[in-house]
Amino acid sequence: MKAGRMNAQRHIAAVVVVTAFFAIEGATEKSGLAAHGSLQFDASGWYRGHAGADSTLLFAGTNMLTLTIRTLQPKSAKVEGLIDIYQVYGTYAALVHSTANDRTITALSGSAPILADLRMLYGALYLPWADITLGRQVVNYGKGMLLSPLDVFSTVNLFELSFKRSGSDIVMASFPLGEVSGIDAVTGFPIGNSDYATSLRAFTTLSGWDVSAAGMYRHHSREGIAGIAFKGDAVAGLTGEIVTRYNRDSREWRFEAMAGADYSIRTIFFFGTEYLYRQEGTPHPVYDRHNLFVSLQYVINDLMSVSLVTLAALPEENALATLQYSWDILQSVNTILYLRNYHLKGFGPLLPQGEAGVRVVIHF
Amino acid sequence: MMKMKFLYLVLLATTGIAAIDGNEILKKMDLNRTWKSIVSTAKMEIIVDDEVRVKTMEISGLSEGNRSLVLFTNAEDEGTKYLMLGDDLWIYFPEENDVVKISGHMLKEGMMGSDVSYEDALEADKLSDKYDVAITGEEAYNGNDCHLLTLTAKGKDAPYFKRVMWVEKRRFIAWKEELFAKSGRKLKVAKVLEVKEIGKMWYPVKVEMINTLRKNSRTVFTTESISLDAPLDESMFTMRNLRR
Repeated sequence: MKAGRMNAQRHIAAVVVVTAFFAIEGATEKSGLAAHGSLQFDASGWYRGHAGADSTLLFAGTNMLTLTIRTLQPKSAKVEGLIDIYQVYGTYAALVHSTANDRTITALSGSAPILADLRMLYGALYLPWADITLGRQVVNYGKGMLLSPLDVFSTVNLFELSFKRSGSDIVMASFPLGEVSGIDAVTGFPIGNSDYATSLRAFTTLSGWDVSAAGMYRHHSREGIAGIAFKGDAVAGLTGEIVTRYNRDSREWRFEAMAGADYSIRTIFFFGTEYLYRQEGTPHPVYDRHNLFVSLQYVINDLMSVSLVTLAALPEENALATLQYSWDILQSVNTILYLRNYHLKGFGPLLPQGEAGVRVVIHF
Repeated sequence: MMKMKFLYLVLLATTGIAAIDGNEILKKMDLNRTWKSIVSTAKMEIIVDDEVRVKTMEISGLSEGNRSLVLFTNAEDEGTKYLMLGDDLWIYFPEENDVVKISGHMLKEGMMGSDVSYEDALEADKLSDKYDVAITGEEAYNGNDCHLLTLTAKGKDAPYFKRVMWVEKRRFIAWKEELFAKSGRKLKVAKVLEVKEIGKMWYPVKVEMINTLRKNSRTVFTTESISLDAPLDESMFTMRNLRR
């Protein structure tokens, strides 16, 4: 136990030293660092009406500051950091302890806790033959909008309106092989008992189709993962992923596949759909054997749109639907009115059945 | 006999002028967009009724291979990049570290919610390669004597089925253009509001695009600074650089 902790401390110290080196290199690029961000205000009403209990209407609110810092026009090195600092009110405040994950830092508890989520903090060094990045970053392996079985490192937050992705603590070496081809080697850090993965991915573009193949190994769960992904166009846009998993302990093979399509009509109506098949195995809080994601958008004009996004999982009958109206109300100010319906069995009273809210985002 | 010879020469000369055909006009128009490399900064004003939203960007391009890289610099899109290589387009979203391939039909989508599609913004093919052309008349437009040209797509890879252009006779600037679908429906109207002489070229530095399918909506694209034929590193136009 003690040896494991010392080992973890050595890893952290090494990461800090190397990241500091990248940070100095990145910050001293001629162009310097640029900072920008956004302020986001959410206020919503939650409707709960579970069987055997009186229906209730609750208030939930979030104020969030997002800050991004990155090297401008990096040539030889880059640093980038992105942090969400948010204060939650009402029902969200009551749920903080059950929703905060291990990468979320609760800075202050009370009636309106303040939380911080460091989604990115990494340094990159650009060598003639490879780009090396180290630290917390988003690794996006999948080709799908939402349902990507290849996305092992950075998963999508289904409960966030814009489906944000979490960051992963990794080191990555990217080897370019021509204009549009390359190989990425990625590994997480073995800290504590948390699982981490090591992967190799090759990608290219063939006849207008983006194609990639990846192999991964999850060290603690002793699971090997191999898959291919593609995205291209044949009348409609087409996306696909085929993944197989092998667990060394249970000696079981599992299979997952995703197929998706997107299409637009007269640049006013947009349609996107993805279907994910998951063979029984590792349980997921939302996904099940058959999963269908459908997105419909009607563009009213260049500043306004209405969209409906639905996700359904069977046979567990989990479902999530969001209807939203988006309006760029001022320069750099976006307003979203939304209605959400949750039917997620695994979350019980944690989530409402219905939610109506407004979000205002100010970019700076 | 002398009189006859003079008449013959006049006839030959006027026939020669009139004989400038549509393809020659397209070639002269293409000369107005012939450069080896381009580096520019631009702003895009999206106008709906009286509301205006501004997007700013830095554009780099090489005509060889139709390669271009666009970096958005306005607050809400800061760090978003477009990479175009030939007919392939990718968008990089920095917050998601995500590279998304824009498929063929989605190239007709409005760029960043504007009336300018990805195809419109990044079109670099010669018009004469993709369209058959006919001179269908003459008309004055904004005080300029213009040829009226009708272009019809040679194949399915042309962005529009039909284009009607008002092309100035002297400088071969397409001051106005109407873009049609195969059904005959008018999709867009593009107007050049301002041109700048760069070397031997007349470059349209301010263009208005009206999407007729959207009510009271138009986009004005203004090139604020431009440098042509400056040396550019080819490694800019790679997936590696897009992800940086």
